[in-house]
Amino acid sequence: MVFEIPKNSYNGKINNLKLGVGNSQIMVGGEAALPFHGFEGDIPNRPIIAMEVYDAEPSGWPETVSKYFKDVFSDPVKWARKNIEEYGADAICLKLTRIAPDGENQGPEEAAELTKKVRESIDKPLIVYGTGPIEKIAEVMKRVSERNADSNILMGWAEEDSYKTIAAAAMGYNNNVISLNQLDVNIAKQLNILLTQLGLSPDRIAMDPASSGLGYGLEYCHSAMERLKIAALLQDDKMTQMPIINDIAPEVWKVKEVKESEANYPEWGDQEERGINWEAISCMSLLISGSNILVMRHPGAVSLIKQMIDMLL
Amino acid sequence: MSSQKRYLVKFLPGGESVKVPHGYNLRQAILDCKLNIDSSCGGVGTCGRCRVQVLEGEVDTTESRFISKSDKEKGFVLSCMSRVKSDLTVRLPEARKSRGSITIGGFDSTGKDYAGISTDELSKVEIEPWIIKENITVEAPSLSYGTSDLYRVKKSIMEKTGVQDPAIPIDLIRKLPYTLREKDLNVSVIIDLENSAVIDISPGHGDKRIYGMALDIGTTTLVMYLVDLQSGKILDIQSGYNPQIKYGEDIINRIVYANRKGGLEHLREVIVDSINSMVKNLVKHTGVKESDIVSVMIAGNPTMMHLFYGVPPRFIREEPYVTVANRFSNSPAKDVGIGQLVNAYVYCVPGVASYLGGDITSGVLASGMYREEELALFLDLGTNGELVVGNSQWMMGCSCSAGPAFEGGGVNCGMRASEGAIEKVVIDEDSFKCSVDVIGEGKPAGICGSGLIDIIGEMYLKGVIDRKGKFNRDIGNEFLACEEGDCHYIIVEANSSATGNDIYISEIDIENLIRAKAAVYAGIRTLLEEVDLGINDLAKIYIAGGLGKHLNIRNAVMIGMLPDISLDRYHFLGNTAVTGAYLSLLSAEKYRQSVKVAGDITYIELSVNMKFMDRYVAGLFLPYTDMKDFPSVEEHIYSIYKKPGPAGPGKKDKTS
Repeated sequence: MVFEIPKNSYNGKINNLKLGVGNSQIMVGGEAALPFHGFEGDIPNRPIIAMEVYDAEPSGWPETVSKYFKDVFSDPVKWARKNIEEYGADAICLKLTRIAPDGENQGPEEAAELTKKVRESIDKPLIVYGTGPIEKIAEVMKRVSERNADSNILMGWAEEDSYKTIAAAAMGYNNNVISLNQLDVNIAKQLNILLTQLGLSPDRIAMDPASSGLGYGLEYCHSAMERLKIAALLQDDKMTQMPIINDIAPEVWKVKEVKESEANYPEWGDQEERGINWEAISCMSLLISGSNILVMRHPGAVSLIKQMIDMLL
Repeated sequence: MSSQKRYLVKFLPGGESVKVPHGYNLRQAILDCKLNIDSSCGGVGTCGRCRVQVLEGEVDTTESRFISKSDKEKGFVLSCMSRVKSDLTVRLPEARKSRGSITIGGFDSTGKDYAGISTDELSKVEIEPWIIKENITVEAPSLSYGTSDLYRVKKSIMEKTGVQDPAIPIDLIRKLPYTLREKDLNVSVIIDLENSAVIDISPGHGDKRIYGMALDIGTTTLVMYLVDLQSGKILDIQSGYNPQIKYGEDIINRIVYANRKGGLEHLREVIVDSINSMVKNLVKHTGVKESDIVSVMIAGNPTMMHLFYGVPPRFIREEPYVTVANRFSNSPAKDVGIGQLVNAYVYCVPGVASYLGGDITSGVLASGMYREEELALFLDLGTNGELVVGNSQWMMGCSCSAGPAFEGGGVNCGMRASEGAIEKVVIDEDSFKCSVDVIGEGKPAGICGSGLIDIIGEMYLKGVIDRKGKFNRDIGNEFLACEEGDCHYIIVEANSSATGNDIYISEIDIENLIRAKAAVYAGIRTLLEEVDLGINDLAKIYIAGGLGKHLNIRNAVMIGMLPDISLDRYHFLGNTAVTGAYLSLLSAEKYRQSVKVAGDITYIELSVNMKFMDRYVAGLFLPYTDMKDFPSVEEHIYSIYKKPGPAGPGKKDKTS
């Protein structure tokens, strides 16, 4: 008797999210099967890896990861290019930290100008996350969208209490929006409904479920993301068919398991290797849970994840 | 020493005052003066009801989302979150409009219309008294028949009623030798056939007519019927507010109060006093002799029953949420404080679990669902939404905390369904002006539960709010008043209201109402899912509780509170707690049935149910996250807007 793999059939598929334009354009999502279940349905696009770039020198990074970027910390453009040219990033995720009102309180114009500069100097798509209160982020993204009109950048983020400004900014200048929820399927759906009712096309939305990293509730993230994908694929629920982005790097690189030295915890082994594994295991778990875009930090982890994707697809 | 310093706190408008130590809680000071202050959260700063204005002096207070910046400058604070730091003058909120008359769940005082209470159920009830009065003649003792008085009384009772060896209380036995001999061994005996217990023995033969009382002790209201036990006729009705309200509007606050030193005894005293004065009134109005009243049947939620019997309710509120008793012992009336009813026993309709009481058992009894083949849902809408689903084969029940929003609590301009309450609202789609219907003749004073449900439904349909319940600020709505990002929608302007202030609804009010409706619907869905049934399997939905009478079902469906099924499957029952008590008072079969029903209902604890939480979050959206649950609402919205909702670049929305 020949063994036959039992197969699910699916009713829905994930939306195609277009990132970037022209030569730098890539497609995200579009799969008609659960993650890596290529034997059950078409998976036209690979999950992509976006590497982080900050607009200011980040603090609190362990040496095991900061050493790769020390030469470019002061120049986001160089940093972005290094990520792409040396480490093989599929996209750049620019984090605007200087706009936070309790810090430098940089204005929207300056922040928008930087996003434009970075975008124009790379041949990969751009993702932009703000930090600080949502109102300020929305204000900045309005300008970011305007300065990067018609370039399909992905902007973070919209949330329940504040989604109109950023949605309008995306609609007005043909860019994309990240809808943020705290690992809640209902809230994710509700926000997508609100965004689309405003007129934002569903294929201009990516969902960020605010996942955590290994050891800090990853199982729950898996369950929430799996529920989103099952609703999208099996029940053809249009409001869960947006690709998923996981901004996982900050979650991984802040925990003591990657920050403590081998001298302090000899039984934990080599610190850098441990950090790479911590990030790679977190990311692989999220890929299996349905992630379409991973925001990563360590070049070693990026390389590992790329290999694993190759093997699984 | 400064720690010894006591400050004088004076309250306006009444001028009451109290001396308190430094750092004393302001809300507590108000209560110490025996003044009323609302606080549905029990003084933890989450309901925003205990706002007061500090006119002179200083308090140490915690910031609250219920106090806007401008109100803060005017001295408004949440009293529960404030500590006294100096002598104070504090203005309390105006006492809310007199609570008005109460509609007793549809009962028409002519006694003809029994509350739409399945009139069926009432007409079908066969009166079968189980507390009776019999005249008996006890055999005389002699030297050759030297048995005891007690033996001979029991023998006569057995011969007359068939009851073997009834229990006879010691105080009757103490008097027995003289009671028997006073009228030549002729006595009349009041006997409870169901429990084989003698209630009273008195000398001589007399009139066999006896009376009973059915009493509903609600968290908010009390209703009492005086009933002729032979004919079933309701001779008179008394109703009033539960006097415990001033010590907490809802169950949780009562339990908190009962936990304080002397609190339980105090709550028991005030409720018993009220019941005694209702009894007096009934007796006065009808001329029935107090000594001829032989039974009182009480239905109430578990907390109310604990408080009435003076039993600590504390563990109802603490995990794992258990009662002391679901069925309290039958007790002589004088033992539970109703001393004027010298010959009466007090009974209670048994409850099911900590948040599903005898009032619900009563409701199921009154609805008749316990003996129907078809599947029915019984829904009692109040501060707690209580649900029972099932049929003659099985029943399951649960309780979901909806909060006081439907009874006007936790909502700035909320009030109960009494004179002056806005009970119906229509919003003009172009001007966003509200037209309102008010209970009674006067000007509007506030909004009651059904009015609030109307408002949410209308605001959603007309695009005043989005599906999350947030105001659409960009639609040119002139009745939206915003201050520092906080907006409220004016329903009735100050010059047309009875209070002289705007009647409005704020985003926080809307949030509270959406939470309440989400809890009710999540409860219904979860309960049905537990037994693998869907909304459409329900043949009937019975609605009981104070909200029922004015409720517009269609609007309740529109906001996702009640299931989207054919409206003709909905039936209003009114106050079923008192009806059930009345039924079990009249008929031995119903009395037995009430015990069986309470035993047959399987209770589900929702507070630890993950599915409930999931449905609840899905319900924090209008009408519901998954529109498939509300097909008729979806159809209606499409018929108006040709798209899934009014928010967005609709005809009035300027976003492009």
